[in-house]
Amino acid sequence: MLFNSLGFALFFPVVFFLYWFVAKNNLKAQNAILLFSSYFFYACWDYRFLFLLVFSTFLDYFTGIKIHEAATRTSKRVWLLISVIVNLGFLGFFKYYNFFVESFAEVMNSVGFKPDIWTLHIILPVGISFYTFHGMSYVFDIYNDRVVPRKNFVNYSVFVSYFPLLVAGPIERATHLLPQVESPRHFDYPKAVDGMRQLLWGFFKKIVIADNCATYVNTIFDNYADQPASALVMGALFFAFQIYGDFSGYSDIALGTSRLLGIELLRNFAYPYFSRDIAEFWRRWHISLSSWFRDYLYIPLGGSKGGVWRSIRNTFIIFLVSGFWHGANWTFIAWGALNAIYFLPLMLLKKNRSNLDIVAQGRIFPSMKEIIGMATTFALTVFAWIFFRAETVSDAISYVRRIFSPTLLTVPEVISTETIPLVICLGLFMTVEWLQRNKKHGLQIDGVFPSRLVRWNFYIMLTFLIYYVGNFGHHAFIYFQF
Amino acid sequence: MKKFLKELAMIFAVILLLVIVINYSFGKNYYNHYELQYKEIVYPKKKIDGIILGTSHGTHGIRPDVLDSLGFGFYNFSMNGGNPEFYWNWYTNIFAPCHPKPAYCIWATDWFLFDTVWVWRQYEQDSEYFPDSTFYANVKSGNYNTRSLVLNRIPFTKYKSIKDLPNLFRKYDESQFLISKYKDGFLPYWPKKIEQFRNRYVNKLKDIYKISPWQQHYFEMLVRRMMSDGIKVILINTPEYASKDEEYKKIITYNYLESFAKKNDIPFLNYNLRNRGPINDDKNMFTDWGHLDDEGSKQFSEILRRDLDSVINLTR
Repeated sequence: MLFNSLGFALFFPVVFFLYWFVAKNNLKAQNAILLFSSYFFYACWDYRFLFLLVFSTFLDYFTGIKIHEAATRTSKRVWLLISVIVNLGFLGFFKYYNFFVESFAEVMNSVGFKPDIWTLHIILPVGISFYTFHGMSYVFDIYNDRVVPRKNFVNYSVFVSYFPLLVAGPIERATHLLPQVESPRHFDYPKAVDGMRQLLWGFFKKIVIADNCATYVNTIFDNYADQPASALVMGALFFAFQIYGDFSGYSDIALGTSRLLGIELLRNFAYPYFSRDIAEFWRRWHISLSSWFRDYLYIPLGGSKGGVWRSIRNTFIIFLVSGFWHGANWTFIAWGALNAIYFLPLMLLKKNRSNLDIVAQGRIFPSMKEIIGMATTFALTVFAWIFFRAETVSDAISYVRRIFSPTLLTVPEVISTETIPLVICLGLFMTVEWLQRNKKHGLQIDGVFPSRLVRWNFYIMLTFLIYYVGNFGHHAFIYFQF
Repeated sequence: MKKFLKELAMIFAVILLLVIVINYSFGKNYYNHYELQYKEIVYPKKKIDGIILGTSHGTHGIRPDVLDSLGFGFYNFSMNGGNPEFYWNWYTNIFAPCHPKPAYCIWATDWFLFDTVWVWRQYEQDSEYFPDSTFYANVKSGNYNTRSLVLNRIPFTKYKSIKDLPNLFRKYDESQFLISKYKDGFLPYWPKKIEQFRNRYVNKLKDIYKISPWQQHYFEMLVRRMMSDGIKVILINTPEYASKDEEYKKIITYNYLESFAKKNDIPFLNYNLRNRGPINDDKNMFTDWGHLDDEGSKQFSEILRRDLDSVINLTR
């Protein structure tokens, strides 16, 4: 069930009604409804993998209790290892088995051996990367005494399988979400109204920006060898907007939906394309994953303690693992490596924490230095996205090579008058994001439009804009495949 | 909660009201040539002895008023992208039940007649123009894509792209089709863009077109059905610009049509091979490589009238 589908448009009002009108303020009933609807939501994708979700939930629930009860550090560590090995074992099997087998075969072929490889037709369970990381964060937090294990299995299951975040995050933390699941929830008018706005903005990003860009991106990347350089540049730029609109749109819909149910989820995006350097970009892009890797991998590896070289090593590990987390393809690893390389100068110059504030704070226009910083960061990011989007690393290299050709100044054939509405919407999108960059989301407009009439007109216009300019081809969210 | 739901309901009510206004405006004011063609079936204004089927090449290339001087009334039901499967559904669901049977059917075939990428028309997409009884029967039957039938029935959901919006304020759109010159199903196609199409056309012709056995099956079924209904079928194709014998002789569709026509004793007037003439080489007669322009359609219809005269006399 996609957020941008008729199924979800029917599913959510039913859940909303049961949650607020049948369960009323009864916490147990609310959580039971959330759990049942989450399992139903997941079963709509593929009911066969529901057992995997339940098993993963039970594993971390059980090992969490065992870690807490263990008398010695060694036995705590054993239970932690069991949890990590089983979790990563499932993730590794479903997501990476064929990749490892094929890569092994390629290496053997290159040295003259021809092994019989045994690949499997494995279907990737939707959301496995996300709920596995949810569960692991819980176990890590118990091991580090940040969280006490929960006895109530229903509450814990809601934490792992809560439907707004189940298939593509944000990757929640027990310290943030579990207390909310365990506390009585009452309908909060301002939160619900803002949730609706965030939902609307998320749909705009997904249906208008991402899915329209996708049409051009797919045409250009699928036939890149026949395209002029100008079209290749356009394809890379449009992909940057596609993936941002797609993933941050998804996150806005998830956060907005959850706020309608009275639960705040972690923020996942904070206007990343206005970053002045790559370190700032990664503090603003897929925040829940970046902070997960920071807390559970970078810091345990020593973080920035122990000198510059250790810090660089750890940064490379984080980015390579992050790339690999996205999928079993060398393109993602190349993308991660590129980002790590972008980080190097900042680390060597110790400038990786120099842009912690909001760009052009208190001003409408940025300074020249800020413009240069943002443009450079954006260009570097777009370049790395080519590797992320390409089918293979050699395709990506070939794509980049073709950009540097005399056809760079020609008008791409893929552009027509039908591109104009999309370009206008992209302009509108980035303008709104820029003006709202100190807000939690683009449509947090209480202070901007004090008049209710103006606000309502704005919502209605945006709804019609989505309807008339949006692409309703039912494109799945990009991050569902991860 | 009450306040939230009340406000939500008010916003939805405003949106719903706007949807109703837009839907009404599209449904009542705006029309295109397909609507006029369907109207003629259900509310005939002309006595029709011969129908013309085909793709856009037929719609913009054959003038029924020129053919009428043969002593029969003709109406052009060629529709852009009209493929055999579409016409089978059109004939069995709409035309045959709603209209008296004609004596003749001129089917303007093309070499891409069986390629569903080139001839893309789906029966369901015209549901807006179906008589109520046909629409409900189609939905009930379950033989068609219900979602598509319903979405195309409602003008608000049918005209949902931004380029449709200006049509809220006008009766018809003449950016491609000159609806003001609509006459018995024919209307001219413009503006002229013959130069830019030539290379693309040749490439496609040589390499790309495909033949769907499914479409061939519907073609044969419909021809036989019309013949069994007592309709005399005549196959033709409209002239294409600079069609060369050496290229066109290789076209598999033509070979198939030739042998099908021969087997079923159906006349086949191929204006790109055997019946080709000076019009094929006159750039001034075409809007693009395959569509005759206003003048081209007049001249071609004269030629067709002359040839049909002898064919009809033979089959009479």
